Amino acid sequence: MNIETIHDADELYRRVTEYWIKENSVISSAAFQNTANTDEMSVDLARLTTPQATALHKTNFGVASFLAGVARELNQEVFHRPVPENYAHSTVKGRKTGSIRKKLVKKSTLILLPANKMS
Amino acid sequence: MTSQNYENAYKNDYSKPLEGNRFWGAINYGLISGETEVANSWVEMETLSSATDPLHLIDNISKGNISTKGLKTSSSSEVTLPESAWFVDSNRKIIAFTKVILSHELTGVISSWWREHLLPQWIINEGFDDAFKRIGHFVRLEHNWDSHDSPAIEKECISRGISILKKLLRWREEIGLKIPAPFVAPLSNGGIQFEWEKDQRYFEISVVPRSATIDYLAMDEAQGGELILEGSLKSQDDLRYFLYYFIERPSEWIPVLWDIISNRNK
Repeated sequence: MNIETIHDADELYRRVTEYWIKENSVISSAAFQNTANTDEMSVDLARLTTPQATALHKTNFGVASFLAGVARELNQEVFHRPVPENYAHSTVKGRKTGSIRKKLVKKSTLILLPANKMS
Repeated sequence: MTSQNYENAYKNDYSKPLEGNRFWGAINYGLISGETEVANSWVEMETLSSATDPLHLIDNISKGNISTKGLKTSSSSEVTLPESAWFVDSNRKIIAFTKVILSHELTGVISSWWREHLLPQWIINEGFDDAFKRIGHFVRLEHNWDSHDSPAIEKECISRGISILKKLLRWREEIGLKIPAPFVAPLSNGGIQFEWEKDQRYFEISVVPRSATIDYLAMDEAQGGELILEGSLKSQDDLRYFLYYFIERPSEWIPVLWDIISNRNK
């Protein structure tokens, strides 16, 4: 598989569970934790996928979007790491303290709401 | 009338690995067929209706007990659940950290037996019921609950989370600290996070597996700048100071808070 270059202006999609969405549709910083026992967080490169695909076409997931450049400003590495079942799969690598996660929240937009969070 | 047969739930629970002889279990409740008349049925009915939808203020402490009775005998033994160890969730299940009662412990029981849950009574204030219920849901999140390969939420974190919520309620009642109900979120590392956000202030704490400390993050942009305090709380007093100064006080008090925390940790 080809490895894409991710530019600062590239949008990244992060799949979020309904448990991470507050009543007012604000995202919890819990949504931006690294995968357990790693220093990496999985995202999708937006131009290679759709919000629905990132949400696995399941209604209990939503999607948050942020720019790769925002993550890099927070001392994170961003790179494309496709997997057989998802060519858009990418990684945001780096230690994510509470303040870094909260800053990601502030720079993110919830572009797809889980079904039970829609009013 | 409102006796419940929990045999099915118990079949499931027995298959789970036991820690000592205690375990988390989800137990269905509600009217079922084949009900049995019990002497205190009206009491149970009253408790059921008040404890289900919604949970609301009844008593000053949380409490619950399980009565175990033989099917055709008045003999019974009662086991009081640990104070912090149950929830009623929106799917009408009791999530209880309870003790396995072996058949030889049940005196007077004939052949099969029934369990009656006299549902717990709990003081609930201003949205705290949602926080309790959410943590109740976390009990049942299985591995990969977020699709990112996360482990289930650690039982120890569930218990600590409940303890924190109850502590917050206690502080509200005993010292009048107007702590708003937090938003509670599961963490990808198996922990639990509590969040408070108002205007330009944000405060979060988290309990994580295999760590005795509580991590915190306090952010304030009220002065046009950005104040970030981040670290580990060393005691309940630290948490109380944070909640007091960060939630109730104007921004000018934040440096005072910082001095207190810094000096306490020297």
